[in-house]
Amino acid sequence: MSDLFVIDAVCNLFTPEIRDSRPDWTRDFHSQKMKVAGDALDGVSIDQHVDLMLDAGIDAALLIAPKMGRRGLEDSWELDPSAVIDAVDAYPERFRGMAGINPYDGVAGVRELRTLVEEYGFVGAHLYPHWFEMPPDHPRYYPFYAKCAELGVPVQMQVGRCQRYSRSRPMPDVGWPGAVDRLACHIPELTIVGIHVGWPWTAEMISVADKHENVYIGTDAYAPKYLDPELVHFISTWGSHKVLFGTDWPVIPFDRAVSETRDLGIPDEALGRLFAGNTMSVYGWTPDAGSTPAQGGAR
Amino acid sequence: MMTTGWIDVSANLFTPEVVATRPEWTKRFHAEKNKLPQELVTGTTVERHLEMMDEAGIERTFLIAAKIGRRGLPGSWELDVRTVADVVQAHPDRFSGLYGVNPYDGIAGLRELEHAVSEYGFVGAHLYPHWFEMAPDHARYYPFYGKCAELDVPIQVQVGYCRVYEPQQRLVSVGRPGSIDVVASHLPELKILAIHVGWPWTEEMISVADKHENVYIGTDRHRPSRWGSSLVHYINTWGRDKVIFGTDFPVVPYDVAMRELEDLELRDEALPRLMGDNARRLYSLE
Repeated sequence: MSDLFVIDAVCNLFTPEIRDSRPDWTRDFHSQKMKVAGDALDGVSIDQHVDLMLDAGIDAALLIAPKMGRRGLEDSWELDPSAVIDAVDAYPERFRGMAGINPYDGVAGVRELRTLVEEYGFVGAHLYPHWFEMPPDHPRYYPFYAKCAELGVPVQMQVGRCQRYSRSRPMPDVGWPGAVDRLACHIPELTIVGIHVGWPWTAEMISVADKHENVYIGTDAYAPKYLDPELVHFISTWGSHKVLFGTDWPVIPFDRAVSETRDLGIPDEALGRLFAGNTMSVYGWTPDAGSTPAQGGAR
Repeated sequence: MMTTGWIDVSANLFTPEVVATRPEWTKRFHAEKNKLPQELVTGTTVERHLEMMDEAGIERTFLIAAKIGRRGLPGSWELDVRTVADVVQAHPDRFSGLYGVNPYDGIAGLRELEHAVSEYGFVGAHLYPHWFEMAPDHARYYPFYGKCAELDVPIQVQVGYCRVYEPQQRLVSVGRPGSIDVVASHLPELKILAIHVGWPWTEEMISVADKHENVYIGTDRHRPSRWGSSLVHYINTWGRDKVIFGTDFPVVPYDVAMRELEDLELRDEALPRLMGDNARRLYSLE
């Protein structure tokens, strides 16, 4: 088991500088709601970040440059992609970037996405629909979706409910998997990863992932031991090519994510796909960290 | 060489060869509904088209490589981009090309649009929302809107009611100017020329064109005597930079357009804007 190659398909950078730049709700959210403790709460350097991953048995990660909410509104925040670019430069064998989408950036945002993919090697885009309070099938996102499809890179987007992050700015849930179904019908060339599982509509998310060959599910942001048995069954059997392991670190600690996932009783071959094989094929990236991983995910 | 500077921004290539490929409803529509003379029903050669432009004093005409309806449905039809490109390249000082959008073409359609603009020099895109029975603010169109904005070319979108063309594919009227307002609010970088005036929502169309700096109105498809006093007033006064002449040839024949245009007695400062200046500015033409 220990020889499995592991990629975290949904990971945040959380250096002390980034932590300080984030809005006030972040600390309460991480410490009280998500029960994040220790170093992760105060932020860690990129080197420490890699050490934490390696200690947990995670070899590589996709780092998000998130865009959270419309600029100017209270508690909106975004990470300058240059922070992700720097991390990828420092550990090119372990990291690739994910370009955050802010639909209000319009054509300039579409151009930024293109630049990040073509010039900085970002392997996909990332979207928080709830932070913009529009479901995944809202037309405002479509120019970005089309650009992803044109460039041949996936977009990962949060599905399922969202939390109350800022106390003063609650946001309604918009992440119905049915909206991903509509989008997948409209742009079949687009590869979509529904991250954050999709709960409380896990079964609906499974149905959409099964329906569309280009739709996948990410397990991030939930402690694996609480994953719906229906999803664990999907991962283990008929959906073994459709689910990607992720943490949404620092929300789920790396070691907890890995050890609890190993305890789910997923057959080895399916576990290898979940941990790395599916992420490598969806994002077209085979990290050369350590010895070259095989497609099935064995190290 | 014409020197009027007058431009028809929305016209069809209507040679006998093209007419022969069009669906059956075309003839009924042009002969019975639009009451066109025989020559315009059966088609005119490119040379004859140029002659008519000469007689009317039209220096340049935009030809639409139209995409009409979802492929496979009764009455759907499309004109090959290459056919328009050939005519444009044979007469680059008289014709310009417009790329027709079929939202179902997806990413391949985006590539075709980009190719038409970069390789064939097409000056913009064109969309018949009613032929796809989705309002202009439907998500399916947005990849094309985004691409037009990225390429910095305008898109023409039909507004107003539509007719019943093919009885086996009766189309809902979806062209409410309010949905242009939605698109313009979402994508302020996109230049939109709302063609076919917008009747019976002409007032609504004027309000949207006035609201958004990148939204314009095309007068095509309606002969000048039917533009309505409100639009004529807009052309003459507060909207003189926002309205652009077109015919939807052969729907409005050039001689009819010119005769009725004269009858409108537009103001001296308004006429050249309507007939050329606004189009040149919007389409970045010399």
